[in-house]
Amino acid sequence: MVPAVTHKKKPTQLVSECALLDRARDGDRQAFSELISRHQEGLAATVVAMLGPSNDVDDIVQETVIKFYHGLDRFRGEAAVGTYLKRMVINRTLDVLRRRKRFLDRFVRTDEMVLTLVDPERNGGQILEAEERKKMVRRAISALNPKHRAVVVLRLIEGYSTEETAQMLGIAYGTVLSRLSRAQKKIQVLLAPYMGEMPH
Amino acid sequence: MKTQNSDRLLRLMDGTLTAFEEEAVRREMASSPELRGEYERLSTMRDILRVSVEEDARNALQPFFTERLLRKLKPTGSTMESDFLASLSALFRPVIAAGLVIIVALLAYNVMTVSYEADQSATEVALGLPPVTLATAYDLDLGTR
Repeated sequence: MVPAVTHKKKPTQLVSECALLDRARDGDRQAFSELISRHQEGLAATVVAMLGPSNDVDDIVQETVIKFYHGLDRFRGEAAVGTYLKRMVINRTLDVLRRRKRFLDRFVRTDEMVLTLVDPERNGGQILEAEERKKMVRRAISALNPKHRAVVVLRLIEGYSTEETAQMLGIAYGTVLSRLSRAQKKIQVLLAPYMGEMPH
Repeated sequence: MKTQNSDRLLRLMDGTLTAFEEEAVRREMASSPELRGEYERLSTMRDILRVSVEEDARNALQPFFTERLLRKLKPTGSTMESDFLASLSALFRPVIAAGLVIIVALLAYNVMTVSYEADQSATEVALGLPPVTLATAYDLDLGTR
């Protein structure tokens, strides 16, 4: 299965990004625009994974990119541009989640999710519609606390390695593994009816 | 131990194990139905999550994202001039605000404390100006005649 977002870059693209970055620092907005156009879809996918599809996705990606633009002089190239932007957007979404915490606690509760899980037996073992599955996936991800969610998004969905995930979140390697393990157990319970559907 | 297994299985899916590590994991899976089951569950879960997020992420950004971004980054004049004006504005904004507050406070004080004369206008009262009579205006000494 090809990952939804790939962060692996070809060497020629990396060299080209350095050149774009230098030109962007000199005030070349077109170069900055070209740089961002390579990463905007990936950033949007990360925001969608963390917060779900909404009208906020565009705003959050824009805010992140504008913040990166104003901090271009501070970016020393210690990480690839895509990785750096991902880290910024993850931090931004964690801020949003912290502010939304009360809302999430009120409207997305585990007991509700358990009750709304569809029993395949009752449906005669029929495969459910894709929309229903997406809804359940969204609820499963929303049921995770922000710290676990970030690990699932980066490690499992986006395909960053455990080391990269640890670096991007500023946590230990072991912490990534333990958070991932707990998150996986929770997701497996919530997505149990769908686990037999995907061909692989 | 379980977290280490998960990590090895994920790395197997990512294709980032060394040849030696991969062979070891596959040998273990061949002899352990539990490990094989865990691999299947992990792989399925990952696929479900990725497919769903990928579908949701399509068209997540509004049209003309880059153009809108460039408009927000575009300066109104030269960078140095706009920075200077912005700095001046930031510096004097609190001074202007404080000045306005003081003026309003003085006006209110005058209105509340000055005693009204019948022929005195509201502006004179608010500004604390003394009432003007013919005598004071023309400096007439009417009392001596």
